[in-house]
This record gives sequence, C-alpha cells and structure tokens, in this order.
Amino acid sequence: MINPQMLTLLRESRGLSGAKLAELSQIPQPTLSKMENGLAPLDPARLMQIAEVLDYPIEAFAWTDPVYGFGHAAFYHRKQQALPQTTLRKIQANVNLTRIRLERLLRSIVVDAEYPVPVLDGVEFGGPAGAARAVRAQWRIPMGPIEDMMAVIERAGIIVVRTSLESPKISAISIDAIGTYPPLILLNTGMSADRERFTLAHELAHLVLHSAVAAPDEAEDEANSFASEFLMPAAEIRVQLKGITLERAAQLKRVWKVAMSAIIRRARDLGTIDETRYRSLNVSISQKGWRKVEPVEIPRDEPSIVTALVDVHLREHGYTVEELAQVVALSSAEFGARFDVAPLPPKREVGASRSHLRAVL
Amino acid sequence: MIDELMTEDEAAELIAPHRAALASFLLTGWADWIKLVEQNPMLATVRNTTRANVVYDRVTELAEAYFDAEGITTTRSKQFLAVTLADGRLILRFKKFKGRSMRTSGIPTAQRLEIEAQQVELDGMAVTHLTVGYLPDDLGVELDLTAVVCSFNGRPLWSIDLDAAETGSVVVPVKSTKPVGPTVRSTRPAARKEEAEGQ
Repeated sequence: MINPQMLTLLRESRGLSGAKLAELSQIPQPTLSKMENGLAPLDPARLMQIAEVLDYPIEAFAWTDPVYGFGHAAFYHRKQQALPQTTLRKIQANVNLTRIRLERLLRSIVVDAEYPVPVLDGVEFGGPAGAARAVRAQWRIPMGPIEDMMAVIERAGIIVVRTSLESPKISAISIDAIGTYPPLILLNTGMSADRERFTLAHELAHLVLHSAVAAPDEAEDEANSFASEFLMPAAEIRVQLKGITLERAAQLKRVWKVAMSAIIRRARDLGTIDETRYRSLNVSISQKGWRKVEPVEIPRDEPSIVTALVDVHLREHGYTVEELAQVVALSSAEFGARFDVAPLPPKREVGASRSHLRAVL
Repeated sequence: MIDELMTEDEAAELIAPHRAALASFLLTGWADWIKLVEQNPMLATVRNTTRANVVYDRVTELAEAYFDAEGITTTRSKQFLAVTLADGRLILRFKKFKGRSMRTSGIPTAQRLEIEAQQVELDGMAVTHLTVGYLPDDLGVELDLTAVVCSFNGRPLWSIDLDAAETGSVVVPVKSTKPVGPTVRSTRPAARKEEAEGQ
C-alpha cells in the first residue's frame, strides 16, 4: 500500500519538482499529481520507475510515519525565507526523513539522557542570558569553558547529526521532541569547529526558549544572547576581555573554544570595549581575511549517539549494514555514505572489531 | 672586531650536535606557556614581557639541565643563562625576537651594549655571542621562527635556522577527561543477557 504523502516527501527529498519527476519517470504529470494526492493508484510498474529515479527502495513509499512541520523556532527566520521553495522543500523533506530514520534506528535502543531539555520563559529569568545561566545550573555544568558542547547537548538526549542543508545561509535546524521523535539538531556541513559549537548553543536556545511559544521577531538575537552566555558566562569572562586585542582574542579562543569574532563581540556586549574599538577590531579582522577562515583551530566536538546506536545494531542485534540500510529504506551505498559505515564482511562475530563509524546523515 | 667573530660555518659546526636540543627547548618552553594559558585563561591577557619571562625561565631551565649533563659550561648571571662553547670563544644566550629581523629588545645596560657590539674578549681572544631565539606569530598562538643569530651592533650578520617552528606547531595535549555523550544501549532481553554474560 503506497502512502501518497510519502511519495511527495521522497520526491522533495531529492530536490525534484513534480514536473521533473514526471519527466524523468515518463509518467504524465497530471497522473503523478493525482498519485501524490491519493486520487490515482500507483501501479507496481510505475512505482518501480519512480523508485529507480529517486533511488529509494520501494518499501519507503509505503511508510506511514507521521510527517511534521517544524514548529515555531526551527526553520522560518529571515535568511531561510530567501531560499527557493524547491530548496526549502528539499530540506524539510530530508529533515523529516532523518527523523523517521532515527526513530526506526532507535527502536529497541534507549539513550540514557542525563538531564531533560527545559522549556523556559526567558522573561522569568531576566532574559535569554538568565535562561542560559539557569540551564547551566540545572545541567550542573561546571564553571569555565564548556569542554565538549556536543556531549553537553547529547547528554540531554538531543540527537545531533551533520548533514548538508543545501545552503550556507542555514547553519542548523533544531526540532523539539514530538510523538516518538526525539529532539534533533541538524548541523550544516562545512562549518568551522568553533562555529559549530556556537551554533549548537544557539539551537539549544531555540529548543529552550522558543519551543512552546511563537518565536518573537527577535528570536535570533535572543538565541545569540543565550549562546554567548552559555559558552562565555559574563561573570567569568568579563575580566578577561578588558582591553581585548586580536592577540588576546586568539589566546582566549583556545581557552573558551569560541570564535575570535564572537569573543570580541562579547567584549563589546559586556562593555569592556566601546563601539569604536569594536569596529576597529572588526576592520582588522576583515583586512586580514579572517571573516571566512579565522586563525587558531580548535578540536572539533563529534556527535556520538547515532554512531553508538548503529554500533548497537551491528554488534548486539546482529544486523548487517545491508539490513540496517533496508530498515531506513536507503540503498546500502547511501546508508554507508550517510552513516560513514564501511561495508562489513558477510559473516561477522559479535564484538568483532570494525571500522570507525561516524554519522553524517 | 667584526672580522674576529666566529664564522657562520664554524659556529654551525659547533652547534650541530645541539641543534635539535636547542629547537626542542624553544618548542617545549612555548608549549608549556600555551598549556599555562589553557589552565589559567587570565594569563592570556598578560603583557608580552610577562609571557617572555615565563618562556625564558622554562627554556633556560631545560637548556641548563641539558648542557650541564653534556659537561658544557653554563653560567647564570643574575637570572640570565649563558652557555659557553669552544673554550669560551662562543657564548649562547636565549631571547625572544622582536620581529622577523631577529633583533632583540632589553634594557640597554653596559653589558648588553658590549655584547651587542661583540666587544667582549676573554684573555685577549674575541668572544662571539649568539642568540638562540624564537618569534611568536602575530597572535601569540604558535612560533613563527626559531634560529641562532649572530648580531653586530644590533643587526643580524647571519643566522642558523633551527626549524623548530616547522618541525611541528605547538600541540596542546588532549585532556583525558574529555566528557562523553550519553550511554546508548539495547533494550532487547537477549542483548542484555549477552551483555551480562560478558561481564
């Protein structure tokens, strides 16, 4: 039994319009449109044609998993509204498919979250910075720099995956838990390690502050304010920012694992430098070509949950890579590429050593 | 005096057995400084002279231990270390360079001026003073260059590259206490049984 909604979702996930898929699969577009609306049956022959064009196993078209919108915070801020509709639909479809795949991979597996993701009203905490301090306290994060932002996020049960979000305009998409789907952050690929950390804190802000209420116009500013305080608590970093120079910003980047530009902005926001000095430092950064690539590399925080759950299926549940690919309705090749899993020998002993797994959904 | 100074080839030959060690002192001294900053972020905001003092103390501590073990004379005048080679004809000292010109800075004491002018003599024999130095990059994050330099009136005559900056940038060791993500476990009875049996 084919699910028309899934047909649309799978088409959009490949970035194809209805007209393009009709052309590639040699099915009249009105017929395809009716199929997607459940007004015309999809016979096996045509299903095969479509599945081949979209490079999905035919089982995927029968999925009945719920498809959700992204709620208040996840998707629709001004930068993203500048993207073409086809791109937005492709992203939305892939986010939904990622959630569905993760939900399937999470069956028979539990993630032992150490603390919940609180939903806070920023006003009650005196603003986003106050909410950030509250989350740090609730999660028992020790004073000082956050050693591994990815681990902090994942210990709250939030699943993080890196994936191409089609445009550098989008750093990440966060989606709160709904139904059987866990909270999820999709990080765009191609970001520096320090920018990833700030982005994670920014997305955490959306989950904490903007899940339950309609995101205000200033939601992005609020999320940045939250992220700055979460990664660089004012009470601890203020004294280190006095008279900030580029050299000191570079040293502090190593310590706080935040971009030099973010540290300098923090100095301005906390009043340790004035606007003139802030602009001057930014001009220097631009002149040195550091807007795109900053000096001083920091170690990249790596997600672990998806890697671990694939590992449980392979080691403990006795699945092969091919079987897992079937579970999430991907070809073995695409599963391997998305999960960075090397094909295993057909016969395998439980506990046998295996190549490193890394989720790149 | 300039024609009485040791030549680059002669100095290079004397330094050759110790070249790797000299490079490692500079690299280790700098790496230790970076580690200190990691442990105490406030150090990131100290003056460059403070940083130079910390690095100097570490570099000379290592150098002194090394040359003492090699049976090579080292002397401390106040806190400054000098290493004497070739029966006193060559003296090494340790400094931070001001820039890529490999000049150094300091209080212009009579002794410093004498050394810069290479006017020191020992029993009527000219003594060549060389500076084992390092230059941090613009941001004070890594070393830009390391070299042994022979200067005359403050200007470098020749230099021997120590290649410490190229042999490896400062690698800050990864802390073993790095936090990890949550536990991900199977809820299947069979898997749990296997797990229990494996313990």
